[in-house]
Amino acid sequence: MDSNIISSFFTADFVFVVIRVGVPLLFAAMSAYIAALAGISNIAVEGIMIFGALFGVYFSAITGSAWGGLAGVVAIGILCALVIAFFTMKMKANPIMIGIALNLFAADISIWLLLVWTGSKGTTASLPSKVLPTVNIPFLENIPILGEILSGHYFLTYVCIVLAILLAILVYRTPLGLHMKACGLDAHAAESVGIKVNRVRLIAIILSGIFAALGGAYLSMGYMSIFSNNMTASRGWIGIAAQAVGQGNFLIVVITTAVFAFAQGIVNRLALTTLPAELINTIPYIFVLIGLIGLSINEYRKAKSH
Amino acid sequence: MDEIILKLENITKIYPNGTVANKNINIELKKGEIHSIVGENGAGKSTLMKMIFAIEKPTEGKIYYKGKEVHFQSSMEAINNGIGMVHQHFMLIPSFTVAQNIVLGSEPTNGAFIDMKQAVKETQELAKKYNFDIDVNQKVADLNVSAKQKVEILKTLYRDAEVIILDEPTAVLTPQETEQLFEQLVKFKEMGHTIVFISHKLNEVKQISDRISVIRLGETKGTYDAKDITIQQLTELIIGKSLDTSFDKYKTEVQDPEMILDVRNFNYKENNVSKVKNVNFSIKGGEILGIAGVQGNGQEELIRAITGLVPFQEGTIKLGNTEIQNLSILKKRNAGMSYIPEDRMIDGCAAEASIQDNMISTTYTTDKYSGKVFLKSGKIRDVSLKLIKRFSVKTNSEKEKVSSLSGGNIQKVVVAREWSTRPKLMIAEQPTRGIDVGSANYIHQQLVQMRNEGSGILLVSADLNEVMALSDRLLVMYDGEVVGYFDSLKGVTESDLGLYMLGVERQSEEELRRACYDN
Amino acid sequence: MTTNSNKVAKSTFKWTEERPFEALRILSSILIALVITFAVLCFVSPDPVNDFISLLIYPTKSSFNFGYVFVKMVPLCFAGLATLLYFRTGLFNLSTEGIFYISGVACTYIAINTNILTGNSIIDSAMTILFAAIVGGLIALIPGYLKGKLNADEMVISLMMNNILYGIGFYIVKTYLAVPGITGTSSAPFETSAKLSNIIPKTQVHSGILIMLAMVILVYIVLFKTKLGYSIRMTGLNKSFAKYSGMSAFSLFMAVHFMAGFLGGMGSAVELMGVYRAFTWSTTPGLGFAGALMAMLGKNHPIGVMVAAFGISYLRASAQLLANSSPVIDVKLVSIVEVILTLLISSQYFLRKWREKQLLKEEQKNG
Repeated sequence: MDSNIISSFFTADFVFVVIRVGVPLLFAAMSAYIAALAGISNIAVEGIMIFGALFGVYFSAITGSAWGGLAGVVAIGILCALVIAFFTMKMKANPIMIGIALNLFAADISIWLLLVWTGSKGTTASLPSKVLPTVNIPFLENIPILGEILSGHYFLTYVCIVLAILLAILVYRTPLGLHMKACGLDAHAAESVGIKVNRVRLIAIILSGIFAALGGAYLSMGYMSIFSNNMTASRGWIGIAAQAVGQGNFLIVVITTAVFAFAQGIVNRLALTTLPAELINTIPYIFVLIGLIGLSINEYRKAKSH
Repeated sequence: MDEIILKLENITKIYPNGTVANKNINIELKKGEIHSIVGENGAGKSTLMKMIFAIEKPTEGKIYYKGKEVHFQSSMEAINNGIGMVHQHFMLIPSFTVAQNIVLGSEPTNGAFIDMKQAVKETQELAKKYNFDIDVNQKVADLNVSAKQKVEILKTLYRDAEVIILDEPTAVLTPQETEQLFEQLVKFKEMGHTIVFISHKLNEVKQISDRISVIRLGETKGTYDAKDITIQQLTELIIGKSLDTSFDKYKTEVQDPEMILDVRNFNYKENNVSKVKNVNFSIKGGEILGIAGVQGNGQEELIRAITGLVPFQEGTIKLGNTEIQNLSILKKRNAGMSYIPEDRMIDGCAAEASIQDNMISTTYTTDKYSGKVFLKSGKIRDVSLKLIKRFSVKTNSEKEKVSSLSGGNIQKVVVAREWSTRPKLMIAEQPTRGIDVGSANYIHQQLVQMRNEGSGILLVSADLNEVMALSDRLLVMYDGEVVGYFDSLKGVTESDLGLYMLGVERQSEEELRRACYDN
Repeated sequence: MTTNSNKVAKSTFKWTEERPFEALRILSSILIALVITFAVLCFVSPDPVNDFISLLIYPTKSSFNFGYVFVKMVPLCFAGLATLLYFRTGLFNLSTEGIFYISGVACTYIAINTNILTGNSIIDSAMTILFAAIVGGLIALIPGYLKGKLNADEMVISLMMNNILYGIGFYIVKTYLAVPGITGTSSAPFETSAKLSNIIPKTQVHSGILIMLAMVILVYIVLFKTKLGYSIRMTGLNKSFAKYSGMSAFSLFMAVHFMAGFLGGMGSAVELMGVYRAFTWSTTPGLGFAGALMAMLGKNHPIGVMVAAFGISYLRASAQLLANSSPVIDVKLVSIVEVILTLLISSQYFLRKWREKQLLKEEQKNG
């Protein structure tokens, strides 16, 4: 392997790329995390991301404003969350089937909507959609290295970071966060001290929907400026894997996501080389797979020693 | 001192399926007393507590709290009015700290945030005030059972409970811990709290209570001043006198019975807590060995370990001449073991499968029901129909789902399947729990018939009438140990057994050794 | 008067009984799904009534059209059969998607390889399909082992595997199976002897449908007539009952994974050898995920899966054939029907209140 490639992993530029590719993964991980925390599993993250990406473009095109698009994204995230909440909590449907169905639906119907809106199934390039701005942070941008790494990202990158901090505060510092954890760990115990389990879970799933939708919007209103078929590329599932590894600990979820983002960053770098792109693209998934297997081995040993 | 804080007046509870759990219950709790409620399993104690705590609604009758009639709509309302309950199964979240568990649901806040410092301070003060020695910053998962119980009690105190209901609080404690708990309960009493103490353990009840109410078969059998009543009198009130339902007249002697089951030095621990301690017994063909005891005294764990559902640490188990303790469940079954499990819906059947499918789950690999690959459908159907007929399972078709049957008929399906292998050893765990009298009687007859045909039967039941009616020999378990052995039930009364079951008496090691046949 | 007529009806047919009620649930779900599809068409189509009616009847217009329904149905049914084995065992494994892809690559390897092929079409197609099936079965053992031994989360693992299998498969196609000098992602063309023959003139229906029928019957037999099938069903219905009865979960999981992978691989090869001229999948074909829907809609019964695959393929085929005649009809439109059916049929409480009310009424009538 080219030594230039190796050394390029230690540059500010590379860290910048890792953040760039890590943001949608973190949105997805936060989405999976908050739902699982409250004890209602959302495996439709991938599907909601697709909707977020698609409707961000669509709403920004019809309102003529990126902010209008963003409002639409949040609305569509909430709508998906309400569908999940209704069917799993009120109608007692299997959450896994609901998730599979929504993911498939999102993947297919988004292509159909593309066709209806643009006349072709490829991308939304013909729609006059808007992108959210890139943000240069005053003062910080001038600091060497740190400025290069932290300044000049897309608007939603900063939203993601702020939301991650707010999420950590919510989970670890507020009564609602404590109630969510209690509902996820033992709904009966939560109920016995007067916590309204269904309401807490509804809030969690709505947040989950918003996070996933924003993750999608990041892809189509920043990372790229169009929506294209299959643009989420299993990022939602990587988020779910990160939450599975983290097991309720948000810091571990974030770290796991960072590792996956790092793997994705390597992939982006290696894609510039002559190495076969198809194989290199599997690296992040291999990372996730190893992470999950490691977790299972750990659990298995623990169970055995008891 | 004699102010009545909680009064139950003519409380009757009938469940939708017709079960009468409580009938005309009348109990008055005085402010600042320790009031025990005693009774057998299924006597209706828990239902009663659920009604006070608004988990269930009474069908008839009134509840007065502080002189006013109340209709609590949720347990939250009961909590807010100053009634606290320490459940038998703790309602704690293991990964939370003690302080978090205590304040959960009513956290002190500082603006939008939980004021964790305040929570720690408040809970520490609370613990100090009530003389609880506990570190509130510890995780509940790291606490032992008695400390967990303290957290549960602190939870009720944090919510200003005036009446504290403790459901079998000593079931999980060591004698020393129990002593400590009692000291605290007395302290609560002095501080004006009213304690409701639910227990089976009569010497404890007698020791701690001011007054005792007895419930039998859903009815109150009076409230007594603890100092005016003896343990013997209490035992009689709880157990009552039963009719002679013995099966002795149907039993026949088996000639030269072979040794069936031999259990030696059996010990079982769960998460490093000893659940079954040094149990020894043997069973020969043609006899029923009963294990009596109040539920939760190690019987369940003993059976799950013998049958192979959970691994155990120490001891040998011989089925006939083979040691089976290390064999898989399948091999144990092939060696001649059958097992009617305690919970028919969890272990005993696949409710959504047909009766026929449920009849063969333990035998489908045998030549009788299958070849190398295929099931012999015709044969399975024939045998299922025969079993349905022989055990009078009420159904239209062998293809019907088990879930559509009544409890008694589901149990008959389980018994029929376990019977169908003609086992050497039949382990019957609570074989007639929660089923109608007719089915129960039928199952009893089948067990006796198996015994007469030479099987060895290990019968575990919390229903004293059942073990007494069926057993040839009897063990009594208490707190994970065998505390009594009777090689015949002639002349043994319910109250005799009651004293062992409730932990009042215990035989010597020599007497207990007789439970083993020495070969 | 009314009570009299009701009394007569009572002994005959009641929607509240188990099977009729299930049928009622399915019929109402289909109705709701179609109504919503029509409503969506009203928003986007210049002529919604015509579009909707065409969608419903177009496959019946010619034998080619109707044959196309069967062509579309074959891979869906295979994927559904594979997934139903997982679901029946209580496993939520979605690896059929990736298995379809990698097995497709495997069969391509044989189907373009004149050194291996004999020229006899029966031997060649059988060899191609079997090879793909065995590759599928062996690969499925990986998540099977992880589940059986380590109790790893089979769903997320199977999804990650899908991406990895796709990457590896795509690499193999591009690097080893493509025709030198041609850009794009197509493999060299399949040899004719490996391909499945057309069995109904004037349609595209190929002999793969016979293999599919055989597999439906085989899965039915395995599931309901064999020892293995019995232990699959009991484990799926109640794991602790299976353990109590003495069944071993590990060997069962391995067997189920192999069979499901085998069916997935076979489905992939049948689809490629029946319909395609060369391997041209540049993404995973989406058939594995659709298989999960078929299993669910078909109530995890092989015949049910076949019916569900037919129903969904009917609409998909119709939509695909109409794609050029209407600007808004496309095969992806059918996903509206699919999602609504799945949501409603998997909802335990769908129509439950209605049923309870009816039962209560009956009871009151009977005193």
